Amino acid sequence: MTLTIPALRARRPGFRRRPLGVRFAAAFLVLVAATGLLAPVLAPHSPDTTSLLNSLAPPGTAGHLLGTDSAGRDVLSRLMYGARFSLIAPLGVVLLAGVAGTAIGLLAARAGGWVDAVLSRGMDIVFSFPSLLLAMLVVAVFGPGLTAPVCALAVSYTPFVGRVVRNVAIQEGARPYMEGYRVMGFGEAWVTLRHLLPNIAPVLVAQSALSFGYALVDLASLSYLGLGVRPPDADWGSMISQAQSAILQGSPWSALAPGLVVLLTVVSVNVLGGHLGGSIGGKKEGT
Amino acid sequence: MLDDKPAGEEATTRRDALDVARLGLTLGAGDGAVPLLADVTLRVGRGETVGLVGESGSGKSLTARAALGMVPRGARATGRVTVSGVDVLAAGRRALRDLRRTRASMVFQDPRASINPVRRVGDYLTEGLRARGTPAGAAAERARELLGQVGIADPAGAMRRFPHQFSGGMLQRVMIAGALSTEPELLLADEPTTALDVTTQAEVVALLKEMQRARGTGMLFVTHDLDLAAAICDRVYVMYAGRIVEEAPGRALFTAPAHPYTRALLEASPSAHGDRVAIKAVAGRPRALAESPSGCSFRDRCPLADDRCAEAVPAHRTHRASAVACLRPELVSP
Amino acid sequence: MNTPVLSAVALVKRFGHVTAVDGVGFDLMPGASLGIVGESGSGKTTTARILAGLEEPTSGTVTLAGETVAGQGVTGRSRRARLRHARLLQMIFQDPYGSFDPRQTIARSIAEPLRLHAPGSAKEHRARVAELLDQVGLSERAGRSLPRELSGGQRQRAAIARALGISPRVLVLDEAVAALDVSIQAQVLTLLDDLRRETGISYVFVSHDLAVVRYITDTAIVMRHGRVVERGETERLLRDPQHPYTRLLLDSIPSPDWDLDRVARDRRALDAL
Repeated sequence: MTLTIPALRARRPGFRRRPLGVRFAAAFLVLVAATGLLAPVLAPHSPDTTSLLNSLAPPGTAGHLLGTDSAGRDVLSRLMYGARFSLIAPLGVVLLAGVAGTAIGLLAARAGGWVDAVLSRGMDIVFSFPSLLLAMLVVAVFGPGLTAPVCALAVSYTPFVGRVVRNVAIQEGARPYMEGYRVMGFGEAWVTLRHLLPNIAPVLVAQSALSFGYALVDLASLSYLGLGVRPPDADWGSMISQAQSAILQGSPWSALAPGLVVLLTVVSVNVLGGHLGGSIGGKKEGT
Repeated sequence: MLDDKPAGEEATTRRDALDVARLGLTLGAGDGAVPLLADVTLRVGRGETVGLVGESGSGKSLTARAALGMVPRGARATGRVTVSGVDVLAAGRRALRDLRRTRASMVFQDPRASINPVRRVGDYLTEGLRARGTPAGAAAERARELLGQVGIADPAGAMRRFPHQFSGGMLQRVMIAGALSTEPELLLADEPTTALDVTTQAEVVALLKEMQRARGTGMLFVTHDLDLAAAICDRVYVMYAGRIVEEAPGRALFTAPAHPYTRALLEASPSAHGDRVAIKAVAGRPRALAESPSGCSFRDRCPLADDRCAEAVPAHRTHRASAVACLRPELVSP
Repeated sequence: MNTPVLSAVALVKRFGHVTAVDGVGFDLMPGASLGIVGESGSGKTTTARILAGLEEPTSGTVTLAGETVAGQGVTGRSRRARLRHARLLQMIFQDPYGSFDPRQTIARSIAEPLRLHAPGSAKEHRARVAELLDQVGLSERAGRSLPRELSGGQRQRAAIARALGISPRVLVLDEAVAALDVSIQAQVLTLLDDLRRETGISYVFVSHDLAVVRYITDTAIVMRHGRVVERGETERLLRDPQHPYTRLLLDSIPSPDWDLDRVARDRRALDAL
């Protein structure tokens, strides 16, 4: 016997009602995205202006809030410009993998039988292939730059999304309303796209947020290895890579700053993703 | 019934198995407080079968759970609940555990949800006995005996099987064996047959009645099925919107309901027996206490209600065989 | 009007080695109501699902208004065949909580099949939805609600309104009132009874509950282990059950004169069969 009391029914929480951590995470991401977008206006210096006289200035130096790197470039400005590549590239990975994974997952779930078997095993194979290794192979073939690693990572992230979509689609597809639409004469495609997809969308969003974090780290690793963006463009990963020698010279901050930003961004995205995933369970429960 | 009990215990077991006096339950505090139960008074004597009947939101399951000290998180209980002399609402964690281990057991609606699926049935049954200090060998012997009593064909084999290897009806028998393994004075059965097929329900009910009669256990039988309650219970309490609206002997409730709600329920349920009679639907839907109107909770659905019903919650009064919370039961059954 | 609107002939459905439905057949006349009574595992729900086109029968045929819609000679389901099947037969499911897309308002869910089956302007559809809501006793406000904001009974009414929008000749109800409170169950039962009188729609009423079946049907079949063990007029089945299983079912229903010993005797008679 379940008890239903309207007064107790959880309302959709507004922003203010969400946990503090989630609010911080969202605010931080907005801040990072905004500075990236407005870098030409906000950045105190050009990210590429070298000044060998002023190399490895410590944070707090006049005109260089976060100091300079070994080439004397302003770390803050480079962080701001770097945000563009660092955020857009994983976004590209998530979108590509999201679309492909959703398509494959839905097809596998709704078609069932051998289609499901073939797609699922295919995803297992791609899943078991290390994503960084795949990206490195692709870069080795097509040369460095952003396009190749983004596509390669998108391929290896597709099963990550596809599996989850397949599982929730099978669950949701077994609910009586889905069968109801079949009895009412609606076609499979209509039911899947108009009713099933919107109902699993929250899971998809949560899953994408998690993938975003992983993709950001993977891309930073690639850049760190020199396989990502090409100089003079920079993302956070390549900044850390270039600061390596500076660390040995006893000036860790030019590596620390981008490292910290990567860390905070990934944590923020994961917190937000986890929160979105969690609130889905709550929504389904309500009667 | 009490013949095999030691003489000293006999005196103490004279008292009721369950005594609930003016139980109230409120969730939260201040302006946002949500009342769940109000003024629930009921008792279950030793060896007696008492029905607690109601629809969704009536609070029947909450009442049964409160008897074992299980109140919803954040809820505040008022009044008094006594199980075999133990004040449940005042009891500490330890005393409650002790109570559930020895004097009161519960059988739930869905046997599959209330048994650990990865443990063998034998482990489930001996667990309670072992916790009370029975040696392993004796506990296993006792468990086999109980399984035999609840009609499981191969008790020794059943002990080694897992819950999923039983049908719903058979698993409910196992649960009953488990509930009775501690020789409780009170058995709370919360919709124990609702998830079962009709024919299985009859068997499980027959078993429950027989086991309870043989042991002199008091049983509170919670159900939404008025026919079932009237068929097997000595007395029945009818709940509506968190309050008890009528108490009557099972048969009297059926033939001469005194509360308009009881009569409405009877008239709304089609019957498979006797002459075919039209059913009469009650307007509106069952309410929880928090959303019910002032005065009599049923008045917005009651055909007999007038302004007087809004003034105050009607007190229980005696009308024929019933104790009923209605201002004019004589209009319900003259 | 002497031809059945729905006939099932020798339906068989196997899932692997398990035979869920074994040679079930019946005719349903226009405006009539047929009960399919049975317990879990009797095959009653599988039968209903075959009628609705949710399962393919292993053998046997289903004929709707003179056209074979399932079974021999029916391969694949074209869009045309699907729509025609839907226009003739609709189904109400047991679970009032899961019968609607949780993200859509009730009115939108009712309008959707209208747009598919009865082309017209948005205004016409709105008017029809209002009419349907009224027909099942739901307010306009209920129409603007999301499924989770309605009670089980209201949702079941909405499901009936949605099915009626297509104006089917047959409505299959699979345990449609089993999950409802007694007082609400009575409301839905009387509504179904009125609708049948007003519209001449036919029902296949699948249920485990003989009392409910008695109220809503004229004839009934009793199923056990996938087979029909007894059939006839519902009143006759209740007053004079011939098969031991029907007798067991009947005696198992609680009543003030409930005799549990008799249930045990019935069970032995059935096992001896």
